Amino acid sequence: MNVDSDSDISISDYEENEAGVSRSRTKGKKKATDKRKKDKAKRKPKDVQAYTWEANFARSWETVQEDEGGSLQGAVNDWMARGRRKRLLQPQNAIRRTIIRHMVLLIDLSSSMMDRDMRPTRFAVTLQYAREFVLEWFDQNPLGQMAVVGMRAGVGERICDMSGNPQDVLKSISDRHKLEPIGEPSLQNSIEMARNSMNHLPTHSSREILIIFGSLTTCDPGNIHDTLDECVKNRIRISIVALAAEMKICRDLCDKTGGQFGVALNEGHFKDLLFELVPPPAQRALPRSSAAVSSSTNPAADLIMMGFPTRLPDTSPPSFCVCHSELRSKGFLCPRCLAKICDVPTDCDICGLMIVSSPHLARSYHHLFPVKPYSAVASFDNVADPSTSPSCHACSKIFPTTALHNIVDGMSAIGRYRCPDCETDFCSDCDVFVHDVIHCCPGCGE
Amino acid sequence: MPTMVTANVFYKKTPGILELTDSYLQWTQNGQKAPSVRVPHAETSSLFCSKEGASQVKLKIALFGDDNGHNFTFISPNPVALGEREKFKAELTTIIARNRKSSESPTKLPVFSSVSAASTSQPLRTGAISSRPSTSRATSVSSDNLRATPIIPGTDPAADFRHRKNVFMNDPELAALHRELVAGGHISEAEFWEGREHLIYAQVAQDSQRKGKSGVLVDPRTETVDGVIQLTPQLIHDTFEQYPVVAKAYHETVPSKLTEAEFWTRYFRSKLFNAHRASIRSAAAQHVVQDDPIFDKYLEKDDDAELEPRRQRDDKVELFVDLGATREDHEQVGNEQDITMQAGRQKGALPLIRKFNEHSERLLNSALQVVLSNIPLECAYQISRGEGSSTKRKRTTIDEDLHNPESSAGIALEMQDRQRYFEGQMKDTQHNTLKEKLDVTSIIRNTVLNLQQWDTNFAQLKVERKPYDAALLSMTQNVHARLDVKVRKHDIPEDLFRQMRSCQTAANEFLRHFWTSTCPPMTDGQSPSLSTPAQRAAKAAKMIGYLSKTPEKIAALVQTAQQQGIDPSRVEVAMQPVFNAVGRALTSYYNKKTPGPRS
Repeated sequence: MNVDSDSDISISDYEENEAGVSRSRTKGKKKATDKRKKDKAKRKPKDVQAYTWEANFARSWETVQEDEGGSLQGAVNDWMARGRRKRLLQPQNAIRRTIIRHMVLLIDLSSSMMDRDMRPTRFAVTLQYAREFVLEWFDQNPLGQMAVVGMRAGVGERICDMSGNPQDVLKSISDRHKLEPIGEPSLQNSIEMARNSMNHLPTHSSREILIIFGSLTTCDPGNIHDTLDECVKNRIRISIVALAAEMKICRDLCDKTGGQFGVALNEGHFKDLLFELVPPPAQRALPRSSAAVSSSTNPAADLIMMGFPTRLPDTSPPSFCVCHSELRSKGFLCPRCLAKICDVPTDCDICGLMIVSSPHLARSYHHLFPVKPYSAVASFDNVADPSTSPSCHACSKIFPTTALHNIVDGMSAIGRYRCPDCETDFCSDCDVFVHDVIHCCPGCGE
Repeated sequence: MPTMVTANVFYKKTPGILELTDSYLQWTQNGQKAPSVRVPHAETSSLFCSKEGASQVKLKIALFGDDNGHNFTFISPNPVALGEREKFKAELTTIIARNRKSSESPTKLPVFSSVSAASTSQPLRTGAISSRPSTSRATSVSSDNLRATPIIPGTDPAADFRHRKNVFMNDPELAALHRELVAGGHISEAEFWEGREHLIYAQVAQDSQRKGKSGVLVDPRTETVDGVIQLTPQLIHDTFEQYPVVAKAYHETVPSKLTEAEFWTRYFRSKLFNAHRASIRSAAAQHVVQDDPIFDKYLEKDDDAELEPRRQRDDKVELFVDLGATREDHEQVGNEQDITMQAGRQKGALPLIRKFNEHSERLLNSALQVVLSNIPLECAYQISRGEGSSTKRKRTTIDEDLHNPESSAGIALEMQDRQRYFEGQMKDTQHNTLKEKLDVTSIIRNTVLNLQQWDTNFAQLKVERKPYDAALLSMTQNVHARLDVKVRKHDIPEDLFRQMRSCQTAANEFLRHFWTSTCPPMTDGQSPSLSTPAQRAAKAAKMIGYLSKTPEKIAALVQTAQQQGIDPSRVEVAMQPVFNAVGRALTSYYNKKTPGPRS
């Protein structure tokens, strides 16, 4: 008897995962309980709660450990050390990155996005993070353009056309009622849709598809492997952030096109995965064959023509713009053909010249010239003369004169972090600030 | 006769299924077998739709010789119904367009006429089109082909033509521009689309989408407590498709032995239905279910007992999942076999596993449209890609998760004079260090001295009136100008404004062609449109010819404005960017020409 009921559970789990059946079999109970049961089945079998809100209760504060003195410094240091170690993993030398990016954000709008394993729903969380992502992405990649495609009811749905204006993109995903999830997703249809909207783009820019995928099934009209091959051929990178579980086809899509794949464990991790895709991707050497041909593995680079526009003041009398054919007073003049356009950066509608403003270029630059990670100075033996550099080179905070003891890997016992190029010391706060915000070493500039 | 599109609709207030097949548009009342309305494609003359946003989603088909035609109301909830109707609409428009072409009657749709008039530049043979077996299937296949090879306008006239038409329907302004420029004979069809290919690509992507088959198992459940199952046409359709045996039973029994209603009631009570339920066979249900002489003979034999697979697989199982692959290890090493993993140990699960397998296979086959009855997908895929068995073996035994991700750091960025990147900053910092050398204490001392008598100095301060007035005046003017810009937004009469706009868009189009012919954009050989320099030069010259007339046109507009009593300077200012841009194009053209052709 016992064995029987056991098997019952495992099989119903299996079934739901396998067939992606959105209705679970509860033999005539109401829908509400139905939904909850499914939630439960997705989680570990042991957390069998009676009510959904009980699941929301997590003792997050207990993960932070105080040290003997009752201070949280240890925990904070731990977090910072983690950040440092992560930074050390990144390539130190300047590498080629595609700073002119074209990305299609593909959002799953199938009914599985209404699952509540993320609070309040996957859909709501996704929309919120997508908005933050778009802002951050445009901030870091001012020369990029983004489009949004939704996968809903078995087809791909164009939500926003390729645009370089973050406000346009944000506006298109601001109204959640227009995006209400329904039906099944189709990876193939929507990837084809995204692919077709990038076909005409020049290859010096990157073509990327970022998929936020909540479903465990895809409902495709044809062979998705063909689509994958086409994407590889068109040099489109596909990255996927899955919200449910890893699927073989998703992994393949990412691996073969050179993208990243990740399954979000929780809301925080979801955001981390998403934001990992904000920095521009490294340009990779083409597969071996061409690398063998050019022995230096450093193929020659081409120059791209860009123009800096003339800005018209707000108060200028209204005149026609070429992008909307409307009377506007604000605008920019293309330096080559003198056409009036509304927004930069963009490609000139008339002559196709890429029009940027210099801050846009400058903001993209730091990705190409990253600040080298600072090394943690282990002890006072490594400091030649503490009196010459008693304080942080950036903020003049006095360095501690005694060494700390309980130190995790990657942290300096004496609170000094040294730039490998200019050999000046910084405090840990400045280390983080230099690498995360200003992207330029204050010591190297002198 | 393959069905292209289907939907549930009301026709004369009776629910039924509307189908579009290769040659007919037909409507079948629910439960009936033969369609009661059947319209050959050739007879459809036009179609009408209810407005988007109307409460009911309707479609009207008018026939040649019968303008009243047929009215269908879509049953599904609104967004779905709209989608269904769009499909019908898309298919029917092409059919109707064909009909009209073949009946050589001049077309009535404005957009349509402009396109057909314009497409004279590339020969559209009507005969070729009508002979084309243009059905949904054909469209999808042809669009598949298109997908494989990037469409260059003109490769597949019919499909291409349709996509362009759709682009125009979505963008009336573009259609207007097209009408003016192409129908006016200024530029050719191909030229017009050059640089706008992405619009067609996007349209193709949108139009060629087909919905995949849903993978959800049919599992009719009682919605309410009293045990009533809602029988929808969709449910019947799915049931028949997923359980061919039910369809068989239906065909064998329904008109002769049982009525429609009886059939379904008995089916849902039968053992057969219980065997088809997606959940594991519940013991409780077994007692409730009575024997049914009709349905029981369709029952498969009790499969709980048979462990052997019903159909032997004659292909190699992927090594990674093959339980038998390690059998010899046990004999050699003496390790115990894994007793937890025995095929078919849990007998209760067998029917389910079989069902899932069959279901998945059916789904995949329907998606791939190849009968791979004995070849599992992965295998077939590899075969089709020509991979040998040795690579396959290698591949299947390697677990990718156990390998380090390939850490290629990317191509190193080698910049000439990289140090110069920092030069600007360095200059600044040098400047700063000079400043720092100044004696800070003396500066402070001086400042303190300066400030000592601040109150008396302050009292002596006299405000000159004139410059302040001037400043204030200029500020007011500035604010006024801003306000002016905001307030007088749009008081140019609609008619004149439209003229201005069309003049502007036309000039822009010429400019665009001029610039693409003089400075071709970087394309990597995707669309080698106008290849030879001579062709491009000719085009540029032609565009310059048009452009040189633009100032006259603008002058004419300004004059019209004057006649209509509008401040002509405003029109002039509004057209200024176009004017300047045209001027720039002209000068650059003549500058280039005078020093002689630089190749």
